[in-house]
Amino acid sequence: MADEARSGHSVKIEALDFEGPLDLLVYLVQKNEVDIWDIPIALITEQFLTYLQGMTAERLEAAGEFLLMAATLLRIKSQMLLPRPEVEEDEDVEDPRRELVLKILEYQQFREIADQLRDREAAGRLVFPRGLQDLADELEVDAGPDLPEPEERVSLSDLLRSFTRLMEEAQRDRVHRLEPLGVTIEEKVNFVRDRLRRDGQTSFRDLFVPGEPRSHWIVTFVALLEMVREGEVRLRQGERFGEIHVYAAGGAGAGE
Amino acid sequence: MRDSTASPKQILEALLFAAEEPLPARRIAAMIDEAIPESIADLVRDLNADYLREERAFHVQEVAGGYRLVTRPEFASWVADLRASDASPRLSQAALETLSIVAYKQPVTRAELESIRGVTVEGVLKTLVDRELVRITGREEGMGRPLLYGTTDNFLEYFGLPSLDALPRPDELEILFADRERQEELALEQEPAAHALGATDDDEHADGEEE
Repeated sequence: MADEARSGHSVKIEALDFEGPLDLLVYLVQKNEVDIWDIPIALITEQFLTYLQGMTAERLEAAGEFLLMAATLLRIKSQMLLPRPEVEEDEDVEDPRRELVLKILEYQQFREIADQLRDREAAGRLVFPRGLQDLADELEVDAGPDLPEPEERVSLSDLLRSFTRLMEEAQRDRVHRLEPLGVTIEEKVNFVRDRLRRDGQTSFRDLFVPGEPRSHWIVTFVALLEMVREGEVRLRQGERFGEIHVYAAGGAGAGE
Repeated sequence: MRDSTASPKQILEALLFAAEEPLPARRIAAMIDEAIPESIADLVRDLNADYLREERAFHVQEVAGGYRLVTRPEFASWVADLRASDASPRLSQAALETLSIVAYKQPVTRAELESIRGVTVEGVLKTLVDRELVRITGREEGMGRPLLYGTTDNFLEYFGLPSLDALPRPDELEILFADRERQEELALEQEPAAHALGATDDDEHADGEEE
């Protein structure tokens, strides 16, 4: 009955926020400084229920989890109250608390690992790798002031959408052929460069020469992405989902 | 075409400088002539020693199965200003707990995660997937074919872990071990306890209910 006596001074834990019933149990076990392998189940159950009663309305959706645990605790408590079965020597008499204890211990360990991860997270936030930002970010270049019409910036998904559309159009009435690539990214970069030098700008569509194998189109597309990343070209769009225009990034191209 | 005066250490430095993601030793070795993967760790150590001596503001970090250049923690406050745009919020306790379990138990189902944490994890799992710390690795065979979750390379990078083996591995086995020990102990106790049933109740840790 020592346990019941100790629980007399009720523990003020209602205000604390717990992650869940196991979190609360870990807290109660530590708070009462009890042996995890010999948990005074009556005491812990009582304190657990006290917490449950103090649970505020906004945590009610989480109450189910706590209620389930409360039921488990009460079941264990009642099992402990039952007289132990008469000596059945070879029978494995299992402590009704055992399963719960293993659960608590397992949870506790993962919590310790979580603590270590938190430390690592804090340390990780202090170091910065070299490296490029996401391609998607880079494509969203600020609109230049000297553009002829209000134009939207082009995101990677816009670009991919346009390209996919082109590829789909090309796919119709075509048979699959395996052939050597026959073109390099470098060649296509030069091709785009020449086109921009000549015309100042070009529409995205016009970069894909009709009749060319689609594999070449893919190389052109990759070349274009590469040039955007290098800051060599800029992409603009007249309207959302509209035609995408390609400009040389270096001052000369943009306004012409 | 290749500069024969370039030392392996210099080449390593050039590769790390230009790399966009952690470079595995294997890849570095393949790019540096005559180098074997095992020697890369030595080169990295050498390079880091140089950086330390020269008081550079960065060094080589081993992370996610590779090496990358990172700034030293002392410069965090300045670099953080520069990189303010890609700062992500810290993970919640729920997220860290869930991640811990995924890391150790992967591939793992949502039901297993919920069983261990004793709470639902749907929301937190979504956050972790969105942040690319956790990914769906497949489906479990059998009833309902639930999705299986595992950690990503980004998880290793985020926590600065060279590999999953580098995870804190405190007492995963200790539970089982302690449990077995305990079971033996209980088995020993069981007999005298059974004999003494009803005879004495002054044991300090008696459950207090057996009246």
